[in-house]
Amino acid sequence: MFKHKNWLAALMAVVMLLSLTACGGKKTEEKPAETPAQSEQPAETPAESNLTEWEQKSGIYNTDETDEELYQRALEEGATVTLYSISSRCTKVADAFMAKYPGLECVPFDISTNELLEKVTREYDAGQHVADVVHIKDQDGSMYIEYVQGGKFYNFQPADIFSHIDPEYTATATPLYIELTQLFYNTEAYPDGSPITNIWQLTEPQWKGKIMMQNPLDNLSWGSWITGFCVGEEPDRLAEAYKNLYGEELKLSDDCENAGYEFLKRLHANEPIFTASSDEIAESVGTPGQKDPPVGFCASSKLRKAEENGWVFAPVNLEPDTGIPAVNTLYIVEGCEHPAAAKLLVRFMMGGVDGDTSGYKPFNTLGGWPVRDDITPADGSTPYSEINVAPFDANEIYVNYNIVRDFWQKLG
Amino acid sequence: MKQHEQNYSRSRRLKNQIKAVVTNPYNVIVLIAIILLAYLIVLPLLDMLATTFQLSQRDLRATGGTMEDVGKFTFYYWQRLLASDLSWNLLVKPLLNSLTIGFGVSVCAIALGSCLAWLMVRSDLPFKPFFSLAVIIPYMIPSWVKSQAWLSMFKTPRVGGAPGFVASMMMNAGISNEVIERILSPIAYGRIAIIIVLTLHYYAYTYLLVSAALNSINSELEEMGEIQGASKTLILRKITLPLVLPAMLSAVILTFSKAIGTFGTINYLGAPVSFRTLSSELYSNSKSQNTQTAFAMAILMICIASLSVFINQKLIGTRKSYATVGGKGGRSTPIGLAGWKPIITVILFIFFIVGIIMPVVILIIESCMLKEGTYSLSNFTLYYWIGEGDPNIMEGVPGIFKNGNFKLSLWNSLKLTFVNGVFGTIFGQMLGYICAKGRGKFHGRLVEQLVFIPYLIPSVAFGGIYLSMFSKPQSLFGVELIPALYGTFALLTLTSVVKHLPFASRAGTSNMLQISGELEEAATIEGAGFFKRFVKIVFPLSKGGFISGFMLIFVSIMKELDLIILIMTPKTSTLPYLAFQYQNQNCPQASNCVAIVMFSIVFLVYALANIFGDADLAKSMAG
Repeated sequence: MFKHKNWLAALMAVVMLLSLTACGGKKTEEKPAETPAQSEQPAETPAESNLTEWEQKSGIYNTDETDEELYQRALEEGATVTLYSISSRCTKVADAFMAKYPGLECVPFDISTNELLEKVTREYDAGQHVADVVHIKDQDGSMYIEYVQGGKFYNFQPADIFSHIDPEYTATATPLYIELTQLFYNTEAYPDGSPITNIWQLTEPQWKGKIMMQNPLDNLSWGSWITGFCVGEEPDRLAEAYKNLYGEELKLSDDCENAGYEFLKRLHANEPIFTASSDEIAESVGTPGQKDPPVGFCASSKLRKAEENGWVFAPVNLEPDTGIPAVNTLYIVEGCEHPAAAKLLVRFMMGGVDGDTSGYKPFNTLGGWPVRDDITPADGSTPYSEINVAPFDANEIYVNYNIVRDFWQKLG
Repeated sequence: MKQHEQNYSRSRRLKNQIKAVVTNPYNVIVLIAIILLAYLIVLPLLDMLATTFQLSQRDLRATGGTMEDVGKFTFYYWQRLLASDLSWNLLVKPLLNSLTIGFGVSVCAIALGSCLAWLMVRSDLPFKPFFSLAVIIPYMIPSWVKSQAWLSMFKTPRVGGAPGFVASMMMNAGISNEVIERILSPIAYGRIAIIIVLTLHYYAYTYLLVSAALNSINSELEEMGEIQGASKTLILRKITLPLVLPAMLSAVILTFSKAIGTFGTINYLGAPVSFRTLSSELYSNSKSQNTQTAFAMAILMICIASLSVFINQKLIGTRKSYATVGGKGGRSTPIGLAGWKPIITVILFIFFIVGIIMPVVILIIESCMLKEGTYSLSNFTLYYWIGEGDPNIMEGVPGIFKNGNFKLSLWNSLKLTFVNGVFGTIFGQMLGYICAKGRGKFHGRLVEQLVFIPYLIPSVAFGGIYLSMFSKPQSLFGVELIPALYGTFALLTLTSVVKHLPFASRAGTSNMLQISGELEEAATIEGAGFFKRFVKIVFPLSKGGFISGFMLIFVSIMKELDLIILIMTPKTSTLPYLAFQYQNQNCPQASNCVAIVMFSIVFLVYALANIFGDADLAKSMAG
């Protein structure tokens, strides 16, 4: 009898739940319809009549305002701006911003990529417009295809600043600076220069179990990096580099569509050692006093830590190239409450036009390259033009990302 | 006429029964609890489940289709996971690894924890107060600290960097790198390393549970066996073991679930040899934005854990546990260790020094080293603690006590842990009361299962779903029940409390089980109502348990980052967030400083509670 009642109660609870989730389900289905489809070229202003209320009010497509105009409007609209950033250096940017524009408050929030996307998407969907500006990397093209084309993020590219930037970088993103994934070697153990110059040498038996990297399965940036080898003209470059090194044509395995997949397959077969963080790789390669140190791929930004930690390592300018660049990008969030301050902050971080580059300075360090032709890289940097880098096409990477990731997963 | 009379009495009986059920406050509380749990736990779970059947925009690439298809029902993710050419590497192999880790850690942790518990409770071991304080430190220090300590001991030259202590000894002895590799590699990374390090972390659960159970055994029972001529092993096997078996099984659930769900240690020690488990696949997929696959994996893990809870319920059945707060007194006579005493004492001291004190000391030393890995006196500094901001160190970031953010974070962390500790404990005790009184009944089992679910939902998913749920006002049939909670402290509290309910309610259950039903029954006979009984009998008797439950939640919320980072606004910073920031700024030393501060607070609060509050983590977890 009693048991019966409990079942009844449970049944009621389930029914109530179902009715609740049914409501919830409807809500999520409606969402895509709410966001207007963006035109293919977001940089171009859509016709006046197609603008959403927020687009009109914020004047997001108006890129002609001067810093002074934006400053005045920023003070009027609430005198504050919130920056979500994947870099710890955002705190310094915020301080510099507030020093330059008294009366404006800049709230920086340092958070890692995954959490940033989760937080900003959830907040956006719930109508909580907290973040005004987002600093992230578009590594797999999803920022452009899902967020910009999906109408959640806006590129803001004022001509006075963007005339100094190579249009190659600006087609799908507002680029802030470039980082690379580079191969490092221990300069103490190899005083005559890198033991490896061609990327195919990494697939040779003597490097078996002696290459450090992060597992491409582990996160978006390494997954995108391996995808970069398999798309566009990169496979042809790899095939040519192979021929240059060994004097013969590369023979593809059955499951490998092109030279990119073949390279990944052979690299994986050479049992690279995976680590939990990029820092560990720099430490493993760069620690002095090693007899037979490994080589390793890691973020170029580790260069600026070298002196402080006493690491003895240097990057290799690989043939044919070091893979795709990781471009740090800026976006203004749709529906944000401080569009003028957001625009001013983006201009400030991009280095402005008045010669005061204090907003750019925190990012202009060893291992990071400015995208502007009128800002000189940090002392001791190799000029970016001299480094072999693979071409980056957001669309190509986006389409192939999961195919390449699955390929790597199948390797074991 | 007779027929009519019978009907009348039957309907009256039914009416009375319904009246009794509806007016009994206990039933009302059970009903409210089940509805709340369904809303706060089952709903997020269903949300996760629904997500795994909805096509995301990202996967249009693979499935074809247009934007129209986004959000449509699909079997794509489950099919990919369970029945594709990826299944072996994506699911089966990692799952098998997870299970071996789960079983390995459970067996080792139960063995170690039980032995320690027996020694502390039943033997005449010397220095007991010191040992019993030291024995739960592993639960308080983060597991990555132990992983780090493990590597600084056993790291081999192949992975580069400074070799571990053992490897450099072997190198000095002239052993070649290949031989070192062959000997040390299997110990340094992968399965064995993970099992050992996790065992050193999770044996604390077994220790806490089993020592509480042992505490409640009246030694008269064992003496009775002795009088009958039973040998010591027979007594242990036939009397002591059956009595602590429920506690051991409980420990198995906690340890097993935690071991298959953990990520940090497995990633740290497994990555160099590509040892991947289901939890590493889950995190990798989540960080690669394959949210649906990650959710599907989390659901599989929840199923495995629920199965273990279910098996536990079946094994223990409706069997009563042993009330210690009852009408009768009991006593406990320590068992002599005789000649073994000095040997066991020495072994324990070595164990504590190597396994517990060393990781802490390494952490403290590293926080005082200007450069990592350089062991010279000139390299020691207090910069990371009290530095004023030297542009050559840490990119000019000042030491933690000079960082304006530190005080704010400290205050936020304290506020969060204390408020959540109090709320979590109250709800935990209520749920514990239900689990204890409803033991073996459907509603008790249901609550026990429900409460366990948040244990295995990944923090990012849990935090994300709560953020979505409570950023809008919640209404039912058009009536607004809860206003939008975005950015409020209430939402932070709600999320943390629900996520930590598994601990809180387990503490509550054991606490309530210790209170014998006869006390309440006596009061009922005297005519005391439900609330009067709760206020006058249950609450006063469980005061100690309240404090213990509070400690358990306090410790785990203090360490929480993933969950809170999604819920908090940019202006709320907590200590784990500060540690994360320092780590991000490439300042592991400063990050260590924050970790030490966190550890000190936890330890201080625990010690104070131990001295003044009659709290004992051990007493709060049995059941």
